[in-house]
Amino acid sequence: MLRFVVRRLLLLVPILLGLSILVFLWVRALPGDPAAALLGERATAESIEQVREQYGLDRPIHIQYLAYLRLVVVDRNLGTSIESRRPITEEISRRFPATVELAVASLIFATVFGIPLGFFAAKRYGGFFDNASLVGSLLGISIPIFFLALILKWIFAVELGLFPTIGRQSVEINVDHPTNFYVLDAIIALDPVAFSDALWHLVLPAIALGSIPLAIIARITRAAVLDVQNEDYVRTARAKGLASSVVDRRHVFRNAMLPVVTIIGLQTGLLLSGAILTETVFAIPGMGSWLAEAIEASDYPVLQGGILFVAVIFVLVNLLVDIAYALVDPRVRLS
Amino acid sequence: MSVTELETKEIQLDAPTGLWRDAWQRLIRNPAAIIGLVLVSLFVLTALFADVIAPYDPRDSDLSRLEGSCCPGPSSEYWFGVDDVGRDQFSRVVYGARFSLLIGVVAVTVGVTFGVLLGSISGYLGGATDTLIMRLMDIMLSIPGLLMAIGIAAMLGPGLLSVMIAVGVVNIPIFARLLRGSVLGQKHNDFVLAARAVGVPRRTILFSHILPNAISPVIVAGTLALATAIIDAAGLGFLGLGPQDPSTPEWGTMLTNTVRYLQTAPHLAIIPGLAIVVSVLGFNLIGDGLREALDPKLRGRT
Amino acid sequence: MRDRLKWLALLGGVMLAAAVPVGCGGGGGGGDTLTFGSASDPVVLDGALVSDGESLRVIDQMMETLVGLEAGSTELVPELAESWTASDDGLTWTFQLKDGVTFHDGEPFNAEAVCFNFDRWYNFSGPLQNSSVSYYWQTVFRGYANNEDDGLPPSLYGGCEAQDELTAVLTITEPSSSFLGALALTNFGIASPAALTEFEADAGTVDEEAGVFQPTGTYGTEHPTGTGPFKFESWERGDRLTLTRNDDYWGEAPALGTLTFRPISDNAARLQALQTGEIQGYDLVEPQDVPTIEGDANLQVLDRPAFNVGYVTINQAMAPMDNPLVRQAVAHGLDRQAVVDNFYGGRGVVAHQFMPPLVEGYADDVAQFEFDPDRARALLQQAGLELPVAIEFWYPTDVSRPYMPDPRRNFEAFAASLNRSGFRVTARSAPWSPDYLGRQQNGTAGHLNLIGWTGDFGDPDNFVGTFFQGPQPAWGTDEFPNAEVVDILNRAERETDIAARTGLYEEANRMIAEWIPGVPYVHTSPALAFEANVQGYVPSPVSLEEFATVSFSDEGDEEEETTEE
Repeated sequence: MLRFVVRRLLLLVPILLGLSILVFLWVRALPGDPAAALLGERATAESIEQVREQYGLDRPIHIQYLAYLRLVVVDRNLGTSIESRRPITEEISRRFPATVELAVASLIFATVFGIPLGFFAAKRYGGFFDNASLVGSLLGISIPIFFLALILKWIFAVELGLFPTIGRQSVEINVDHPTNFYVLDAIIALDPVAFSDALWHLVLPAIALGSIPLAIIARITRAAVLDVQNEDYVRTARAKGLASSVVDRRHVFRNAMLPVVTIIGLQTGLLLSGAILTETVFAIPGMGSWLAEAIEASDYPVLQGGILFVAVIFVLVNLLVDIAYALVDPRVRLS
Repeated sequence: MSVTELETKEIQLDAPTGLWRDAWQRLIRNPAAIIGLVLVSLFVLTALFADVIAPYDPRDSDLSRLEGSCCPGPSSEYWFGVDDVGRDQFSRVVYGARFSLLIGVVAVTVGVTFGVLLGSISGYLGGATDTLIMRLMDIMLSIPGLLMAIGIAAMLGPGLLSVMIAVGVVNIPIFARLLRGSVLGQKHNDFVLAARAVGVPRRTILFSHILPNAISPVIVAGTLALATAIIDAAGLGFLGLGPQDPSTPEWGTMLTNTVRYLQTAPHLAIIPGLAIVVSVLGFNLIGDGLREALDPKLRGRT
Repeated sequence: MRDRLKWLALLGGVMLAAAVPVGCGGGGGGGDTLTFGSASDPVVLDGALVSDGESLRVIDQMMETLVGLEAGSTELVPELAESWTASDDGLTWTFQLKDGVTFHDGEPFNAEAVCFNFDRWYNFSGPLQNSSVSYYWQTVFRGYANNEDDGLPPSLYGGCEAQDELTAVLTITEPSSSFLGALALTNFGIASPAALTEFEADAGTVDEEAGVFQPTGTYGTEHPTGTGPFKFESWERGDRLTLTRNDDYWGEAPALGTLTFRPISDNAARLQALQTGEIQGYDLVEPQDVPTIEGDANLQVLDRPAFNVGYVTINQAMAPMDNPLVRQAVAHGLDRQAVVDNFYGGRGVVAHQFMPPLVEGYADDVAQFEFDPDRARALLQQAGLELPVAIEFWYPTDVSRPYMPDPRRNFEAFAASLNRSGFRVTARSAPWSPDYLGRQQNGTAGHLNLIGWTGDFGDPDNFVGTFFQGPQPAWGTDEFPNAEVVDILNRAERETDIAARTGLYEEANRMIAEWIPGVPYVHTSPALAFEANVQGYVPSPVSLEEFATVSFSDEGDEEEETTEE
């Protein structure tokens, strides 16, 4: 087990290095001129040249990369945003918790509703509920996230007024934000009003973002349960005379959860891409809306620093999921 | 591993080709798949016969249709209403099917062509080639699809072509993995070994024997990939990376441009959105039905 | 395990149930708190370093200038200076300052403070001289003490002398008829020298990678200090910026005790926030939302006087735009009336010159070009061109301007009418900032592009002077200058007799209309929306209004919950 973990950790270094090169090259491959972009509205040909020289944009690319690497690793400085003129690390500390909170809420929503849905669909295999939930989950992955978000917002927030339309917290709430996780901050401050306000702001975005994971989790649960049900040891248990519910709980459910847990871990990517669209619609100041704005505004430092950060987190999360999976399933460690 | 992967791994690669007849029987008995078939047919027919179906030119802007406000809703003259620059929404939705079909087909073609090529070469040749290609595919698969599409489209510069390429490239690793698995599974089959023993060239074996057996998972994956392509293209359009000419009757672009009228003229955004949902649902239903029909293991229950 | 889950669910449910009523989008105003929905966060709260509307909106509440604008107009009135006189040669301006004014930090306001501020701006160095940082200084005073860029002209600023406690003397190097009006710009607000120094307002780093000037001092982010009716309380980026009443204000204290700005970038979201009571007002109302707001008894729409112009730039450096016949064809090929009638919610008028009727020098008899596709085609053929003439037409994305609420929509309508008039339009677009603005100003935004201008101060020089007095790549006038127009504008700027000056600008407008460097198409009355019980907000042509006069009409009660029916 230890060897497995160590091996994976060692692999991290080349992966992260490769990622940083990829992101660096990608930003440089974007159309447009970074020098002109940072001069903004009143760039002239001479001043662009000046800026180029000044900031080493005319140096060979590998030198630029090394300089950037040094900045990131040694100085822990990810640069400054052209749009807001704030350090990127500062923006990240503000925006990252927002996205994580939304992602966690979406995952909870998807799991709490997805697993039972999949389970009961499998139990009633071939019946109306099964077919209906099948179509339902296919519908879930057929609706563009931003469209769903817009419809939800329009119907439940604007027309019916049941939920807030935008943001993470209402105006009149005045609570400190030590962690920038609004729900957590409300708990720390022991403020039930702030707590429910933060939760209320998460409902619609979580539903929109969680719609696809919900559909996937339901499908995989159904498939996993069906698989397990057909296994010999389950049929043996039933043959022995054990009550159906006991069989379900002890054998079917537990073993079906294995692939389901894997799937949950793999949702990070989906949640991340979905966050870009959801946060934009609900005006949530998270990483997703930030990157979308940066692409529109050609804010190169943000694209470079922000995406690198996201990629690193992504790799780390996948690593954790792999380790967790290896802990549970010994077969993985040996591969 | 992607979702398509997980779902299509069920399909066994060495299924005999007589499977097709059984599969068809199962497919038409599946109500969801029938619905999907109907939706997709509707979609494709609309796309192909747009010129005949659409009553007006989708790009013809006539401000007098607006009657001073935004925007007139569905009427007998303009079935889906009029958009903010005085164009017939129905005609635009109809032509939009054409764009979505085009995007989907091109994207899937790109993905299948390169993916199948890479995957079968990788699987059949094995060794260093295999490792190299698969590492590359792994890297691509580790980046979430939409994000990679955004990255590619941003790099190529926004536009219709960029969207098609971006969404297409995202599909490549999926098909590569699929084909590699199929090839690996069959590589050591008796008939392959026998053919090698007799001296049949590797290339012939690959193209004449192995590939045809790998078709059924490719078809399922392709159908599902088409659905994803349409959605991702809409997403890219929503973020401003799609066709740059705003008069283009493409559903994603239409959605972006009409979102601001959600309160005053909701039909402008809702109708293209529903069009996307319905078309994509159709492909997903068929793909799913195909998957179940082609997988013998899912028949019957304890 | 199941039991534990049940307990957790129960606990969560109880907490939710206990506080659900508040979650239903309750009100946040009434009494003495007002929340305003801005389009974005300010960049920094230092007037000398910003040029964007949202920064200036907030700064305007805290800072004051020597001369101010009469609420709702462009008339100059005393603000921090009670009176002023100019020498005969127009080079020396003497300002008598108000007595008994203090900064928010308690420091006294006096002539020394005034000179400190002006000298500070004049002595900007390094990245602070970048035109994207100190744009307004460059526009008005042209240069600095030590121009680091040879392209910068010598400064108009001569110096400042604190003759005594309350007398400040400003000298300029050339007579200028627009100098006084420019002093009303919020960018020239007088800040506390003590605060500027203590909180290192000039300190900043230039980001190595991106070259962005980032203030490192805390003046512009935590301690903006002026003399105004509101003072800075707190700022949480992305969430809210809070100002509180200045109880020691020299004038009438504001009715509002707390003024909060919430950044909401999406136009539709701002409207929704107003409808649900999360904010009590917002700016940049979209024309199609106006009927919705007017139809709601709890809301009101306020109009600003038209002080802007939306126009189509013609870049003469791109053939065949250098041919006057082609430019005439463009003018005849744009269906301005239809666009203005349909896209501006009744709040726009068709424009025929580059400044709004409100401004002195507006001529009633300029040449007008009606929409006439046939005439346009004839002109193009007369010019010897083969139809259709291919042109590139640019428009900005991701922006909404008062004169151009939906650029794409304007573009599409114009492109369609041009396509009917013998042209073949290729659509090009770029995000507003920095791409589109940069391209537009550099003349790399195609043959035609959409842009506009809201006046900063009520002077014709601020409109036509800005556009046509010097060579500009945007119009292609660096390659194809119009000497006559330049000459008349130069004369007008130096003219000190008001009547003569007006006459000269009128003549200039007539010349410009004949020349057709571009096609102006609209002047709009940009709208703001507020809750119906908000009163005292006086819309200003320059889009900068004071909240000091704002109150709620049912004031006197305790903090009210404004709930929607």
